[in-house]
Amino acid sequence: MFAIRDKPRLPASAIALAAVGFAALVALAIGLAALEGAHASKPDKPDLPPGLAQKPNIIVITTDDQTVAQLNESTMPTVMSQLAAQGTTFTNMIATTPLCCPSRATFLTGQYMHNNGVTSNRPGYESLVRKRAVLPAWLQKAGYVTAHVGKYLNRYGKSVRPDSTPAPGWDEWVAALEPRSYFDYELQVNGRTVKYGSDDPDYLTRVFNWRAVKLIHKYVPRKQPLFLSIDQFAPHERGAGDPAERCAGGAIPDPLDNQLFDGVPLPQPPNYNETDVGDKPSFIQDLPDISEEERLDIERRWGCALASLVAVDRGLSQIIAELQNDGELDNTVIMFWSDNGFFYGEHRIPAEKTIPYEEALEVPMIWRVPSQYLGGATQARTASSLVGNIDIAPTILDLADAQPCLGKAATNCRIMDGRSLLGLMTGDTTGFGPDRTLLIEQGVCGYRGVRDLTEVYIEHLGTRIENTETCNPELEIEHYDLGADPFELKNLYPATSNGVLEAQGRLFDELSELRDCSGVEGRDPAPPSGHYCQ
Amino acid sequence: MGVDAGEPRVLVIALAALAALIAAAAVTGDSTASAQSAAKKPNIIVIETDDQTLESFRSEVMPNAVKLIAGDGGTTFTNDVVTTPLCCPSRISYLTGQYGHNNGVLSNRTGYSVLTDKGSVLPAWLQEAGYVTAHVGKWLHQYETTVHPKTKVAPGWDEWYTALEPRAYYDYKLYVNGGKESFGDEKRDHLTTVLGHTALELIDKYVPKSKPLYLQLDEYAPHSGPGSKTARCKGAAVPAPSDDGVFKDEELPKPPSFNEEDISDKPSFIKELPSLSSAAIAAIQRRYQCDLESLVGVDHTVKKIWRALGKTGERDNTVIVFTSDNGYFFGEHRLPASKFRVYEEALRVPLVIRVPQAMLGAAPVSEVTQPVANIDITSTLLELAGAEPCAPTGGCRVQDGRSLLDLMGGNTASWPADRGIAVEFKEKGVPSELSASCAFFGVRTATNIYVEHPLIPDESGNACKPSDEAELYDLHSDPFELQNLLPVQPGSPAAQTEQALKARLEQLRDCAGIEGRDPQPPSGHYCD
Repeated sequence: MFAIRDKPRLPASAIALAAVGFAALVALAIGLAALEGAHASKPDKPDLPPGLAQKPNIIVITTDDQTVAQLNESTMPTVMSQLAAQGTTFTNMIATTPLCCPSRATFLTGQYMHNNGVTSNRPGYESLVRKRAVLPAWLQKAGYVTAHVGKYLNRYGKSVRPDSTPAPGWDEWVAALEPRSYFDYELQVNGRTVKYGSDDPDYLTRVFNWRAVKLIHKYVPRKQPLFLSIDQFAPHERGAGDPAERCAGGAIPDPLDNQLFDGVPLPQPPNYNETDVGDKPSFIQDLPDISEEERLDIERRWGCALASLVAVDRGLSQIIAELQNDGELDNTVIMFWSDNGFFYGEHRIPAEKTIPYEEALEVPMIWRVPSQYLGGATQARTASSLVGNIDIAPTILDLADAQPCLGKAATNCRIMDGRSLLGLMTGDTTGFGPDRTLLIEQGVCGYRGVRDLTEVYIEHLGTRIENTETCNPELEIEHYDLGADPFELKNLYPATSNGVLEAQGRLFDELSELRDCSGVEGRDPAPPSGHYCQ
Repeated sequence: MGVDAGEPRVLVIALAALAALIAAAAVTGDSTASAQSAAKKPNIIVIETDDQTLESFRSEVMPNAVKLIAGDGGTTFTNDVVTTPLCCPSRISYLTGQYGHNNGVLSNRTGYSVLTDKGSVLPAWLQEAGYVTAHVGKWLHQYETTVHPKTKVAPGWDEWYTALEPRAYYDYKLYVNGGKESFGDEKRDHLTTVLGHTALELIDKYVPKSKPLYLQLDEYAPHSGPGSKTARCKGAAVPAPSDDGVFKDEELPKPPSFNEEDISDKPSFIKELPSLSSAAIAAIQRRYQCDLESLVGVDHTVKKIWRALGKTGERDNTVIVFTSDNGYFFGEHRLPASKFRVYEEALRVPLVIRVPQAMLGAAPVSEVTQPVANIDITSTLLELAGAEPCAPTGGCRVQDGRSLLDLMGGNTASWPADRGIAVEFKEKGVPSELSASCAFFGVRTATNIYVEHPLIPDESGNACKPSDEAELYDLHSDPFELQNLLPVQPGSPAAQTEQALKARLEQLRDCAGIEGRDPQPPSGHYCD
């Protein structure tokens, strides 16, 4: 059915319309227009049997390296109007390991990296323990049809033969494996490889959007509820490119949006190009001042990242339009988040995500959950409790009335470290009180730390001894009072007062508890380490 | 059941035996004539704390225990070790008088489930010898997952007031003689307080009676546990409200091994430990203070037991033992917490035994410096009770330890010179902390410790891998174990020590029983 050059069929009129207008205003119109042709050929769908219809479709849209600041009315008007204005925005959401592959592995498992094995992008997927015990497979057990569209865990293609093999748990598989690019790339589509070129319709985000809409069209409404995970590449930077291009080295926007956000000023919060880094660990102290030339480059990339998000937003409008046409919008949960944040010059870091300052840890997350899945309650507009990406899988399982299990025996279950957010969405903070503390961790010799609503405490573990799996045990410690110092300008370690010293002792012990924790007390079996995550 | 003293296993002091015969003739079912009944078998009260270090057994922290048990008439063992420095294996070694390699238990994770011949344990042997037996407090790991229903009383116990997992200082359950009782978070519900009251009630009920009492009080303090109402002792031991803060200004001891500067001599899994940060030291200090405070409640219980025994006139007819299941690290060798390493801080525990002089047949020496172990307490109590390590079902256990009564009476002639005690640990899977080996086997003498780590965590941290890493310390010249003597210079004195201890370890690894006392073991190796 697919040609080798498989393209979304956007009506030319829509493209022309977008080219002359503000992308934000026309996004919905494009979405609707794009789908008109498809509806004509829509096959008859069987009536829903009672029972199964009670489970919601669940659609997750994940962006790549998007910061909290990059989600706003001008970049993503549909996310704001269709999700934020009608759902719950989590204002204190962090990625427990701010790096693509570990964060996505946490999404698939509900576990911290120390439990799912994925501590870095290399070896990435290969290090995922129990590869079949993942969210989509659990949802299949609960009666879902599962579809993946977009980026998958790093180096997935290196760990399977052939690399077009779909990953466990997915009924529908559309994956962009490495090398990823906004143009001139391959997609793995249900076991086949499809090549894309450099024409406008080949633009990666457009293709993801179109394929997502097609899958919704195919499966909604059906007997089985749909779980669709759309893993966007935007606004991830692409690396080298034609220097003549506006966005060379940065995120590439849809050609429709190429003029957008050009020249917008780079936000320069108080920690931008931080003046005094004497309190910071050595690798920050080693960073030079950001020069004017570099500032201009960061500003350029910032604008490109914003522009690249417009197409993601347009995809959401297309998805919502499709769900409306299917009469299923009120039977569908839609969640939007980013896998980790990113630095644009804060703390002198020109372009990076793995360092555990707020810019990398904090990510946007919004859930739109129809009230029928909340016991008829209305969704709270915001939830300010501390939550993390470990909580996403438990929430989805809760919505799907599913267990993190592939069989009845306890050994077939994965023990999740997070907990369902559904209560929070109706204002019930049980389990999410102000004392909730999350672990943040990175790599074998990276860092470990704890973050609660008001404090963050990090131990940088040192450097890896070359050609070994062991670390030079050189600790560098950071501790910030996020209430008094939200931009993390003043590292409180080493303590200069007894009060701070006591606080650091308490944080050290919390870290000792969480670093090898597993599961939630009262819900899960006693962990081997003796430490529950909560 | 008769109250015959039975045949003494080794030797019983003539006076005690005579007294027992007289008492046996006189005693009927219910006796208030304490003077007569006191002359028969002694009551035995064993108080065991959880994770208490040798350092914390001092008069500033436990004035009553130090004065009443260790003081005038008591014997302090200054070189007592546990054969496996971890709660469950240590306790089972005490209950069986055997090394873990003989009773099957070398880790908490397997715990009670792998204990061989579960009916053949100390309380059952003491029942056979005419004792009424009472257990109060913490019990063995995995008991609750091994028996069904978990309200079941373990073999050997007439009275059962037991804290199973999940344990806590407040809001916990006690399993009471086949049922269970819930406790809340009021002041009176504090676990140490409740265990103390329970012990006193049992003493009141059974002392003096026709049957001697064996009371085993297994305290949870100073183990860290849930229930703290203040941030200060969260994640540490929780003191009773009246003791909260009494050591809040106590300085953390910083022996030469504290935050050890040079750990390049240590095995790989220790070498990976970072130097303790000031945050870590603050955390350790806070936990240390809370742990000390939690011991004050235990000390109150000691005082109340002593008074109760005085009131009934049974002090001179009661043996009291105070010890801990293992030590603990408070920053020594860069270890911010925990146990199950072979360093002295985890291996050595307080041990004081008070045996009335009449039963000892000699004036008790106040201090014994020979290395002794938890397995020796068992043999000591069997001798005092005139009991055999045999269950009613017929199963006998060959004891790996030796009775300490001779040493306590000042007779060192029968005690082996340069005794070697096996220290051993084998986790099921990777240990809960990666700064530990998956298994170790070693031998500790009065002057040295030699330990092999045949299995250590691999790079993934998810499995164990074979290893030939080992440690040897000269405890005489290097009591803080700062310098591992391995690898040795060929021909050096250390090389000779290594050779000798290696050979010794080969014997101890699968040893059983004592030569001249016990039957030839299947391995051919006696423990002494």
